[in-house]
Amino acid sequence: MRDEEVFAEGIKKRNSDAWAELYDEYFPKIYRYIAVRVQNRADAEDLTEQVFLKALESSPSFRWRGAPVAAWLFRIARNQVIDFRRMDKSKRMLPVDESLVSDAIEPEEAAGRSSDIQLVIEAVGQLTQAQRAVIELRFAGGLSIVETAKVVGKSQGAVKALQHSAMSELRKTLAKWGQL
Amino acid sequence: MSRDFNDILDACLDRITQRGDSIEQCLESYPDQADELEPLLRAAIFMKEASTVEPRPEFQRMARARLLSAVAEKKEKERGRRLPFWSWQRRWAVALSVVLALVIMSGGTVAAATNSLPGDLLYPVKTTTERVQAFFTFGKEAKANLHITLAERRIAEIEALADRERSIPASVINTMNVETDRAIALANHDGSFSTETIAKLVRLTDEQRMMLARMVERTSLEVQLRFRLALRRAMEAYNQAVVLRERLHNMQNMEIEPSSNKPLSVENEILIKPGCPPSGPKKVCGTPGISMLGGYYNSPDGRVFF
Repeated sequence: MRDEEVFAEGIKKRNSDAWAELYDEYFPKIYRYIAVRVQNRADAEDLTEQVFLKALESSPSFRWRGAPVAAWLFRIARNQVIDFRRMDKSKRMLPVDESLVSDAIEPEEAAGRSSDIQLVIEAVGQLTQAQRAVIELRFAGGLSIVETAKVVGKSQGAVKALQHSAMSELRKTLAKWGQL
Repeated sequence: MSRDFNDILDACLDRITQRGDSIEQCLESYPDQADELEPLLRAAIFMKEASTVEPRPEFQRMARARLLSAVAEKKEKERGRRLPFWSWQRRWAVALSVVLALVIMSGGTVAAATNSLPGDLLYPVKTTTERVQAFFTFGKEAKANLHITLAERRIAEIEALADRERSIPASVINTMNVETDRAIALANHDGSFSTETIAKLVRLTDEQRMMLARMVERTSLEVQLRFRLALRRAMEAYNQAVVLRERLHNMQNMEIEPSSNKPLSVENEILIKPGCPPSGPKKVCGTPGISMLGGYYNSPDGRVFF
């Protein structure tokens, strides 16, 4: 089990082992979290790399207050996506880019996968902003309740309640669309 | 809804999405809540599977290398900043020696170095001369002007290297961005810069993003990523420069000419995308631009937006 305080200290002091660990553990998670929000591979790659570079820039001022380091990183990612969406309003309604799905799978399967992603994005889009934030961090980002609570600045109880109400709404929507 | 059920749902979601348990295993643990849990967990599985998008391994590897090299670079700079007193004395000594050397030399070497490019024998003379110049430049506006000049030099060097089909070191691109950011930071901090300096800043950032956009188009895929990151940074710098100019105009109570550059906004521009775009503002079918490489678009006048 990693000592989060020691790890946070390594990140703050720009220890290369700590940064390699941070990257290996969170790069795929941050990428997924961003990819389902910006919906195309090139932007997702750019923004994910930017998140880590921004984290590196701001790491000397990072203070560990008991929260997992992931919470700090995802807060940067969240702000990065918000800024991107603000500057790039034209892409909000674009369909999911098939390049998001792995190049290794057959084109037909890729089309099916991207249409599933599109469905999920549209279903999640019908949630309230607070519900959406929790679901994106939990499912796309793969964060725990504790980490999610730190990112969105709510109590764990509140996040669990939001998760429950969001899942109920998603179930109804997906059932209505014949997906369940 | 009871708080207990929220906890049970959360525990099951963790078991299914993180530990790979099946829905049935979870329902067995909570038979009293099974009817309510099952549909939610089925929706969760669909959500989890649909959200599984993975980054390209080659991109992940390259981004990892870039990040760790940036970590090492920062660490190195930190060490430089923490030099003990005697090191500062040594720095002064080095600076003064270079000044003396510059005075003693007939000027021929320095003049020759002015046109040198990264990788040339005389390039270190050029950068040392610049460092000395920076050392002896006082006043925020004068420093900002020097940063602008140095950023312009890096632009010219990058273009010259590309024209000669020579490799472009990442440090030159990075230095160009850093010099620009420093000029903007000084302008932001001071707020009393002249119209000329701010206009130079706008021209510099405009020129910079145009050059970087051209580089994205003409360089190999591996180098393109570096230029794309620099382009994004340059576009941010351009927006900041335009905001600075608007602030200055407002302070002076002057009208901004309608033809002046404005902060980048896709909504006000005509976009040229490869083929016919599916949607977006003012659709135009056009020739492929660098939009294919990362969400940037060429406008008819050659400017670049994202």
